[in-house]
Amino acid sequence: MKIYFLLKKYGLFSALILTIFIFSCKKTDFSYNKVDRSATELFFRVPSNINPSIKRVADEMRRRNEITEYITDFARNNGYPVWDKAIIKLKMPKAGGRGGGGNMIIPDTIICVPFVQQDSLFVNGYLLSSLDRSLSINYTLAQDYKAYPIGIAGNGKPSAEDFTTLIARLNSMVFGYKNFQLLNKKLFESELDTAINAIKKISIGDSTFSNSNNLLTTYTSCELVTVSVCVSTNSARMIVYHNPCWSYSQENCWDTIFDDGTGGVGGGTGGTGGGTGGGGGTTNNPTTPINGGNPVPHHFPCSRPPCTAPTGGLPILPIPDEPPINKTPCEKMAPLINYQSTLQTLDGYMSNPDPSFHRELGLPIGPDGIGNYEFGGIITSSTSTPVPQVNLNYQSNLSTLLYWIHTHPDFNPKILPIFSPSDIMTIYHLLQYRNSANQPWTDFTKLTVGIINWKHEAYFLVIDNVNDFMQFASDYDFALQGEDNLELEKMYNAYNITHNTSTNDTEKNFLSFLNRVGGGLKVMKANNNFSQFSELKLENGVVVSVPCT
Amino acid sequence: MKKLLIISVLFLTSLTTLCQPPAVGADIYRPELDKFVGTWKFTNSTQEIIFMFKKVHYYSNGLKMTEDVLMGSHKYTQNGVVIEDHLAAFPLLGQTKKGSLLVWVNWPSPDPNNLKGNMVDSPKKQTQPFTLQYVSGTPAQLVCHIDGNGEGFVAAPGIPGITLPVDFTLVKQ
Repeated sequence: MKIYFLLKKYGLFSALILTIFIFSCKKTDFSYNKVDRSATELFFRVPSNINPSIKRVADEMRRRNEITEYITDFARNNGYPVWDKAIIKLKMPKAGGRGGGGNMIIPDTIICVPFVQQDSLFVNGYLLSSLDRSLSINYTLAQDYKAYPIGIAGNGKPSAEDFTTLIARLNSMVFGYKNFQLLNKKLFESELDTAINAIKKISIGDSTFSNSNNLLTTYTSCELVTVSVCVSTNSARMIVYHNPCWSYSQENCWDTIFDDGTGGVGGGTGGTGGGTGGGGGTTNNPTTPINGGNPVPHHFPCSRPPCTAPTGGLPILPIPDEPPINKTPCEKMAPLINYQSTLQTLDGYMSNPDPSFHRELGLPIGPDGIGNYEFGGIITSSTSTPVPQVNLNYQSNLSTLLYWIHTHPDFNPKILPIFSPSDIMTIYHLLQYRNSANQPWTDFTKLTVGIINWKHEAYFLVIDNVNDFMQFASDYDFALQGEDNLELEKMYNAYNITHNTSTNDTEKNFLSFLNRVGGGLKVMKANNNFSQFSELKLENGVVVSVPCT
Repeated sequence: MKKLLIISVLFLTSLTTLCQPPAVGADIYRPELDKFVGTWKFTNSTQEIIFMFKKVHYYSNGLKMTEDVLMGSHKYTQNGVVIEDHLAAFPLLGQTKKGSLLVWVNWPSPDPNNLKGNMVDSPKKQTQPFTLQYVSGTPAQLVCHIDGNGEGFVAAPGIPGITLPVDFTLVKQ
């Protein structure tokens, strides 16, 4: 409204001003790809409203650079600071470290400034400064994760995973990435079932930071970050999108992960504590030589220069957010055309007079063909209860499951002509528990569960909306077994689906049931020789069949 | 003739309505369940079955409605050996814990003396549908029939059969 008023009152002039304003704002975003700026200018492009402590670090680096020019090489090799994404934290002095406040424990202010290389969209490392009683400026690179032990944290030192999480966290802050490919597969191995030979990724979730003016100014010593260790969708094995990860809270404690090897903060400006700590820091005295006369920030975790810092590759690479593409119900059914004769055979078993065929039969199909048939118990009489049902063998010979199709034969009046509640829950369990050892892998974008009944009608359930399906599963406690999922059967029973219900009423009642529960599922039906599939819909109480084209 | 047509339409409409489950947001009280509340026992020379029921005004996340249902726990002892015992959980049953027995008034055709339910059959890793028929008297009795079309616990495949007898009559305690 205000913009409209300005335009009306001041016309083109306002539009010009607004345009300049908008583009000016945009220009303050990253433009490290620009090569027409000098490295120094880019390096010290500090927003005017930046926190004074951060400005102090930038000023100190500029002062050192004016004494001895080092920024050009530093920027080319390591990157440019993203000053407005700096983290400010308090760090408590170590016990036995150099004191600073007599009996008072005074925390030092530490500043972490992520930096990004030119033409890169990845936080390559960060500058680290402590500045209250001394002003030390150090830096570390993502590849330095190798300086920390994998899977082991302790003695005030972070693990390689702690460090990697911080790098991921900084990338999340600066570029908004959430998912990262693990380039070193040893990382986070303890969080993953090592029996699963798949490429891994980590996902960065919520953290306990509060965010104010793009500055993280909550002075807590630790930050809790939700980290998920996942099987990657790049894996040769297909996975379900919704739960490919194992989540836990990663605690990044600034006291340890920002330990710059100087033996603790403090000192420099006096105090009575004294200490024995390291030699990388500098005092506030602007004339004090840095790093033994070297103005270049010290590269830690190599603690005492000269030393050799880790070399080699990065621990992670960002994965752009691309949700898996869900296929349409018809697209999911299309590969089944290749199994037309197999399905006809399965259908024919129900007409076989041999009593050994008086049972439910299950057929798993994977991307490379059919798996072993599963057999339900023999149905000995038309009145026997309960009816033996076929169970999907989780130790199926298939590594990946696309279709799980089973029969509902006519040997008992308890057998239903369409999906039972258990059949519906099977979909969830196939997706959710596919991490169990030897269980076939499933992917909601492709998984289909089907039944063929004694009337030679074949129905298939596909997940059309995985979020709705997962909500459905949550509402009915699919994850819990036994007493907690009785409710689904209560709801199912209300829709009057029985052995003797006519085909039209069965389809109508089942679709009504799905409409009520909102499960994100679609019902597909095959023609009598499995050469054509159609989607069944309920329109104004009437079942409509929409053929796949 | 016109009146007959209107009455027929209304009748058919009401039948259709009766066949639908309660609407989303419904809040239904079932005083007819009160007589089922309490402890019931079946005993013969080798078996003892105990059913305990309480009435719960239960909001279903799945059904998105509230209705009185019976929640219960059961125990089955055979030749002095406890085969299945869910009674310890009975005091906890309510909105957040349903128990091994869930019983409700049949929706399409409510009958205050004949109820449907599902029970947990832990030894068989299945849920078993069953019916309860209330027989008034002193003491009152519940005629229980387990339909047992055997919905296996999918993640833990079911085992054929029913742990409890298919038919038994419980006596009010």
